[in-house]
Amino acid sequence: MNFSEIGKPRPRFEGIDQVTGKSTYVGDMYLPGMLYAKGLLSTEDHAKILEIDTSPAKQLKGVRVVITGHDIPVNITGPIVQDAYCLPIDKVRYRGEMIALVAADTEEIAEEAVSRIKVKYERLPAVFDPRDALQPDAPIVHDEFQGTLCNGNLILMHGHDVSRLVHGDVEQGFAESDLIVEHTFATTPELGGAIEPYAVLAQPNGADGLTIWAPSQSPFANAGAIAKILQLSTNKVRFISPAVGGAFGQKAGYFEPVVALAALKTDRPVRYTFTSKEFFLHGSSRSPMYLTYKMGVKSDGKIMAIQRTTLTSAGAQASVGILITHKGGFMGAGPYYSPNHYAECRVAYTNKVPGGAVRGFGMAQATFAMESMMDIIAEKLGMDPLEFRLKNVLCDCNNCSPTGENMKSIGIRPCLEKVREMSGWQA
Amino acid sequence: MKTTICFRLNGEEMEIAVEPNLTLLDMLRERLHITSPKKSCDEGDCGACTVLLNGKAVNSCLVLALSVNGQEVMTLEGLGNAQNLHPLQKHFYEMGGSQCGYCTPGMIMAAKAFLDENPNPTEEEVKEGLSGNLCRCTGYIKPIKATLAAAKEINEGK
Amino acid sequence: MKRRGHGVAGCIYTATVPGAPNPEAANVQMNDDGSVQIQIGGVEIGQGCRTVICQIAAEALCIPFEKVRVYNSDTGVTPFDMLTASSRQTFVGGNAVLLACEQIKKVLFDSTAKKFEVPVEALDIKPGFIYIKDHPEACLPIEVAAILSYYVFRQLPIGVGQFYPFNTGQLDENMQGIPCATYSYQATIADVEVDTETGVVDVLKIYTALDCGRAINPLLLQGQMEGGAIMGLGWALREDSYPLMTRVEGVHPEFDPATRPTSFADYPIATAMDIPDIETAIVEVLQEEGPYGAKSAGEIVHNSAAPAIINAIYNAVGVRIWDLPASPDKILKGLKEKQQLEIA
Repeated sequence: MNFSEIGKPRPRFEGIDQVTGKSTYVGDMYLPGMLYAKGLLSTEDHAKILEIDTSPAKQLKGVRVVITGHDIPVNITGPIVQDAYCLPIDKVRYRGEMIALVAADTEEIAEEAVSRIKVKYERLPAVFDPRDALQPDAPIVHDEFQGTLCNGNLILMHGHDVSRLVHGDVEQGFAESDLIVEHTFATTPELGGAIEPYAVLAQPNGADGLTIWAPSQSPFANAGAIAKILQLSTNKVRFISPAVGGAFGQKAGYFEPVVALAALKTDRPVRYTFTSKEFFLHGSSRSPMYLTYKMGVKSDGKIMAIQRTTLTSAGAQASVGILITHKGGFMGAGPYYSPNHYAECRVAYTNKVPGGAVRGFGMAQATFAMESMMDIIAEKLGMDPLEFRLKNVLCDCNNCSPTGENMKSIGIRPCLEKVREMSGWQA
Repeated sequence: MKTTICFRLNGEEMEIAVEPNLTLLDMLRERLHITSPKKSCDEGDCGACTVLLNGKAVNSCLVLALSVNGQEVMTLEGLGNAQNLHPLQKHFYEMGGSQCGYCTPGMIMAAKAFLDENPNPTEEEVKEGLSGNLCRCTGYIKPIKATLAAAKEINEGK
Repeated sequence: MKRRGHGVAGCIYTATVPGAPNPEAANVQMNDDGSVQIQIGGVEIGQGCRTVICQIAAEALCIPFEKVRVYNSDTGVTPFDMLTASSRQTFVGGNAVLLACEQIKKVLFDSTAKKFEVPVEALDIKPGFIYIKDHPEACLPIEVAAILSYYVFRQLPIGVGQFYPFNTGQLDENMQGIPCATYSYQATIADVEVDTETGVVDVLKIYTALDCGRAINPLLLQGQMEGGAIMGLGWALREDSYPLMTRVEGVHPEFDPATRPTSFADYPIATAMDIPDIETAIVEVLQEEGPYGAKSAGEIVHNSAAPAIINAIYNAVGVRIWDLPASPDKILKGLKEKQQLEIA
């Protein structure tokens, strides 16, 4: 097929704007009468909120509004399950969770006002590791959703404690194997690491409508969520994602509803630009996982069975943790064929910043475990690790994925052969 | 207490009253709405706010506005425009030196100061020259190549 | 002593949100001067979706890239996008734009057929022109076809594309079924040098090959591959937003949530000084449902670098890293344990 355009190495559509300094990010936007917002972030990992005294902040000259969870019409949200408070009222569940928001004439006044808000906490024991979170005596992150969204800290996925993948018969696969290897791996919470901290600008228009600018990857989902939270219809929330300074999954909306409410209450544009420190504290990270992989192989190197057990730390909100666990669950055996698969996946609440999407979503964790296993097994078999992979790749003759899908256009073999050739690989 | 300072910004005379604790970055962005220098870390780690002060690259978040009195400040806005791109801008554009573009203004200004001082650098020297500018998108490969290509073009034009 | 090693890793990645319907839409309008504007909901996050969408439309409508502009991610103006994530944009956005362009082409062909008084089937399109297949000299510039459509034949060259990936759906209770619309593949080899005195790992070279179907824009794709590899390098060796917490053998006794990194000084993403040479290769195994055979690229590029580096560390010094990152202390600990085993 002859193309005139496809396959051309075009410079970026917005490239000229970028190299001349004309790309406009939310933090670069100024509207007439704009107020500056600042949030009060929790300094506790897990604590009851006994009292929030905002009066010293409200008394400060130049402060136009102070918002707490009590002001939010529907104070709960979340893309998969609704367990995320816009601003928590009864307790904080992670360090960095936003408790209150101030909008003021200048950023300095807003900062000063935030520092004057008095929060009385009653510290609760916190749990960080998902294995600890599943112990019977573990502190419970969400007492209010027992039996509905979770059992203890174990989050329900489609109503079940455990999400299982069953394909073929792993026990038979292990019985037919000459070598069985089992190991456990753990992955860290990597940050998206976008250089642009998150920012939101909200402008009221009409009686109860809004335009919101934020560097979000999901403007439509955000508009819908904001509408629900503020009890508006979705068409009254116009959400614009202008230039986005890197996202990597980490920018799916943070505190838009609260800034939007501040704009509605003051009838003025309000901008909240996170400092880098706030983005580090409040921004989501790659959900850490524990992954136990057990694999059986024939002495000729053919994989017979892959059994996987994973446990994800969702942090204080479940939604993304569920999706990540699910994705790592069904694709976690990598680009290889095995006639038999079994997987058990669990996800637990912890007192950490909610795990979010980060580039590679669930599969990054699984790839680390699986590819480590491939090398460990190749060594035990005395095989070249690259040859061992080639022997087991998904291909047109062995194209069945762990979910039973007959895969097509499978490119793993040519990729492995290409890097072998490029690097002059010698085992 | 505000003090009035005079300085040249991208070749033009400026006069502005500033507080003693105002940074050059905040003056440029909040007062003058020159927004190509970005405010990310605000403590000298990321380089996104890099501008030229008398031709040298500085993190404008670490410079007090007062101290630029009588000095010469240059931001990306002053380097070139769409009709007349500086070689650095041209090669960053053509060679994929930017992705999200957020760190790009700072990086191009750092590269400009670096090439002014070292017009014929090696790749290792370019890496060092850009090491104060963080970028999460590109992995630095293309910005480095773009800087080397710009150096070549500038040298050939001389 | 410095010891070198190399390691390999492969990976697979999905495009589209698993089990979700993944709707996507695009409005495409050809103006009466033949220029084109596209509205999509998708967000430009640096991945290059706007450029790729313009290229797809330019190809489909046989017009120059320069005649296409895209306006995006404004819920008040642009049509629905589920979200810009799950490596979706080229696949779903590209398909939605193609469907809209087909509608525009139909209008342009209708107008040209009327103008030439031939059946639509007699016509074909080539860069810049619609022409009669049997008489290629009888051709109409596309912008003329556009203006005739607007004002003579009374049919606007506007297309509204909506796209749902085929066959995908919720997995059953055993996680069986077709979760996603397409899958990409990548393999990476890393060469490393490990300092056995300090435990510091230096990645010398990364070779990486990616199959994301048709490479619509190889320049931007290569940029994704380079950036993804360096991000993966950071995950492998240094990045941890809750230091000392996630350990196979249990949370480190010194773990303290109060010491979370809050700046790039504490959370050291790679700088220009930390990067190896990267050699990239694009392998195109086309998927017919993708726009011009394209699959997806945005996220897979992150995933195989870390395990390739971890495997290379083992190859160099015989230390297996069970939990990321492969920090110097873990490598020194591993070397010490290995030494003790050898003595025993």
